Amino acid sequence: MVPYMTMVMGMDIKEAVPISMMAIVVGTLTSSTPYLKKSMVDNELVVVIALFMVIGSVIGSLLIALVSSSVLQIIFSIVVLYFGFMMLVNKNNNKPVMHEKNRGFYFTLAAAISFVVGVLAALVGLGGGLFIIPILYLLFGLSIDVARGTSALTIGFAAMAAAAVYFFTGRLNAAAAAPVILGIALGGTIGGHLGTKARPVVVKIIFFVIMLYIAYNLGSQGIKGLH
Amino acid sequence: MNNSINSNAGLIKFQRIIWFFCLSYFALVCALLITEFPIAFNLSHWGLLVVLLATTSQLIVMAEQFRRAGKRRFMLLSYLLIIVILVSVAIGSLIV
Repeated sequence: MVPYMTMVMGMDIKEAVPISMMAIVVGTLTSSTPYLKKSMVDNELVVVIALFMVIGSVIGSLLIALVSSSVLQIIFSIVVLYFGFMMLVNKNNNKPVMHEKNRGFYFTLAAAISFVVGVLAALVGLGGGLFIIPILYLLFGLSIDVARGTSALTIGFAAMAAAAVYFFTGRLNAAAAAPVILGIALGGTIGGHLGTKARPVVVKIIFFVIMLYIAYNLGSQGIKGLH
Repeated sequence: MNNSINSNAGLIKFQRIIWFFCLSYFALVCALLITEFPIAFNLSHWGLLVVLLATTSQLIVMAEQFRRAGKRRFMLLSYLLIIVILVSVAIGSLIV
């Protein structure tokens, strides 16, 4: 969203980022409804992941001055590429790793991973939600549908804190945000319905392309930052 | 997971209300942006605040769903999440 607003609409990045955050909040809340209806959301995981991701993001944003983001961007681009590739080739997802007996362990793991993702994502300037789908799918063994549904709701709560900061500090352009939110409310619902019906292989390919694009952007930013 | 999935009726209803609000309210704001910019700007500002409050309220709905399902730990975590978000907003606003 930010590249579109800055490159196509000529908006300043300082104006585009707050609007994008607000759009994420609205988008995830509207697009997650079809997933909830089709039982594709693990509410308990949503709360645990969102909680620790927000805590991690706050700590990460406090550490920004201490860490070189260029190196992190390059490392993240490799991780993103790896996740995208693994999502594409991984087929062994018919046996959920997480079940009733070991849910406690996996909740603890989810808390730890979300915290780390929150810290690192804040340092690099990425949304932590990018990593939630691959982690839930590859590590927790959830189906791609439940991973997407759970991630859809989680991202909204995690982005809310940032959107609220932008709002209360007067950095959110209300006039420019209105059409974006209208479009997101419409598009999010349509996207949510399509998402619940899409074949997993199609979702994986789309996800891979997005991850490839993000990895390229992150990698090139990181390399530029090193020089 | 299935227990929480089956008790999502309240959450779905709440999300539908948010969706209807966003659609109708911001469509009105967009129409007003062309003719009455200052009014539209003010309306949009309040609309955004409502969206943020609605998102927080959604967490309360989730927490109450957990309470009804007897999942007290997750109910407390949901309320803790609200507190953490409010604290992070306060810290973020102070730093910025």
